Amino acid sequence: MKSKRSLLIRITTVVVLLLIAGAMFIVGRGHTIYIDNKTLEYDGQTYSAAHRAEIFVNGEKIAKLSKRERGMATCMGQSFTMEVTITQDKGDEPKTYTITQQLPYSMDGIVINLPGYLAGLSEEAYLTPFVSMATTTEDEEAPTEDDLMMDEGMGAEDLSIPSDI
Amino acid sequence: MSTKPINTKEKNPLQKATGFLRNNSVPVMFILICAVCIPISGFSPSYLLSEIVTRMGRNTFLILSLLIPIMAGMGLNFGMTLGAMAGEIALIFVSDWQIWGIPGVILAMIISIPFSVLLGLLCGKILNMAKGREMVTSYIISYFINGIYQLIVLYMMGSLIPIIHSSIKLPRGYGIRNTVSLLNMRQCIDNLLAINIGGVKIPMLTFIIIAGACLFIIWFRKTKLGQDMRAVGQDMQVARDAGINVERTRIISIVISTVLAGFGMILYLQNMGNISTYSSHSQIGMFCIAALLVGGASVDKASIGNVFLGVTLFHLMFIVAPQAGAKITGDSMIGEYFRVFVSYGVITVALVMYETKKRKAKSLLGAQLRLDQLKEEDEVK
Repeated sequence: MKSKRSLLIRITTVVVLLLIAGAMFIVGRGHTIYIDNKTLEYDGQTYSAAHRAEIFVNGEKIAKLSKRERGMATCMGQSFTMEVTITQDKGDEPKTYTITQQLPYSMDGIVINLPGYLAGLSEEAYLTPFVSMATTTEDEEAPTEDDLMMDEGMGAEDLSIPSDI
Repeated sequence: MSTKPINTKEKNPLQKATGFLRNNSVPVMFILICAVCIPISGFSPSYLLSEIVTRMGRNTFLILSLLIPIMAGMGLNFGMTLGAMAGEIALIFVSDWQIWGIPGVILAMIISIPFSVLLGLLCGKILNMAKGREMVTSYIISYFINGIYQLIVLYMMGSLIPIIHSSIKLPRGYGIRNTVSLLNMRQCIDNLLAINIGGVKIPMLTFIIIAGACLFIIWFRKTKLGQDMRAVGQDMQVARDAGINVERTRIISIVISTVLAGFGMILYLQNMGNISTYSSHSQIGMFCIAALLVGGASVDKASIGNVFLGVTLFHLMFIVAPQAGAKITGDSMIGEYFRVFVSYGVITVALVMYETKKRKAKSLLGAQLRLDQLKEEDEVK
């Protein structure tokens, strides 16, 4: 009886931990959102960039974009909300939009084209994955023998203490 | 058989003071060192306080993980490095899966549990085969597991174990870079509920977590398992005769310590904001043990109070020693060497004192037995 209870408690603990882990996967998934104020060509139509776009996330201004400029925000979770104040042409009255976008789980960096979104196009037209252009050299960041403490054993290198522990 | 103590005389205040100094020689020595070094270093009290609070939040949980094996009579668990490695592996995965902030920390803690449990089981089983030599054995185990850790992280991750992001992977396509950034979870626990008093940031959530760990240890001591551990720690043979499964109890104590060390390492690294993949864990056991000993703990006795006193004194010395060394000798490296000397020295002193005490107690017991035998012989005559 006691062992049954104990087994039940163990299984429940594991299940609860797995559920929490699953929730953390969804809640904590981080994305980097790139907001483009660039003219979009789609299906033979041209959706021109706004003269000025101001982006606010959680009440904080994160970017002020002119034509052909890109802003960046980070977001945790699967939904991203921002407020955009658009001045379409110079001298126009600014209009404010609240945009909520569901984010694909698989994408780390997501590019949202503002003119495309505001024109009400389909998601595939205005939402694209961000592709990093960064390049690295072969030996960059590779651990050296010192990093791995090879051949030194309890040598002098082991005795050094980092200043910030 | 008579069990009267040999020395029944009341102690005078001088003897009491000498006894106190002998029992607390390490903390007293450190208080003196800090008292000398602080004015020389020239740091302001608010700076020192701020640094101490930060380091206390960063290190305390790790040091708390050492208490349970001491309670079970297994000495200072150098094998806590295994838990630190488990925590690092979990953080590498979480970083690759792009889970940020507090959810990332929680997920890393959950992922570290199975690794820590497995490593703790292995360590506990080996330590059961090396009873009486637990400390040196756990020290060598940490080197052995470090080799396996390097094999996994340097060759298996990215080739056998999927790692997606090139910011984590080495450019050759497999293996993990020297440094993994935890920028997206940096100080997320420390900053939540943090309060600022006179320019000193107090990471309340971190301290709440540490308080939780302290409460867990206090509660655990009172449980059946905790009592069993204390019994095993006092005398294994008596505990076995009382029906306690000594080997199992010892393994559980190491497993708990390893799991707590894994959590502690995650808290430590979220504060730092990056992982030095191949070296973060290598010295952590040594620092934590040194800090605990500085707090007045010994190989067979340690309390939560020792942890807090130890973190404060040890890190205070760490902060002021380089600057004081630079002021006195004109070379800050002297202070750095002093820190190294003190870290290893304090462990050596504690081990020597433990062995001396043990031998003294043994010889006292022998003398007591001899006296009892003589008394019995006199009575027979």
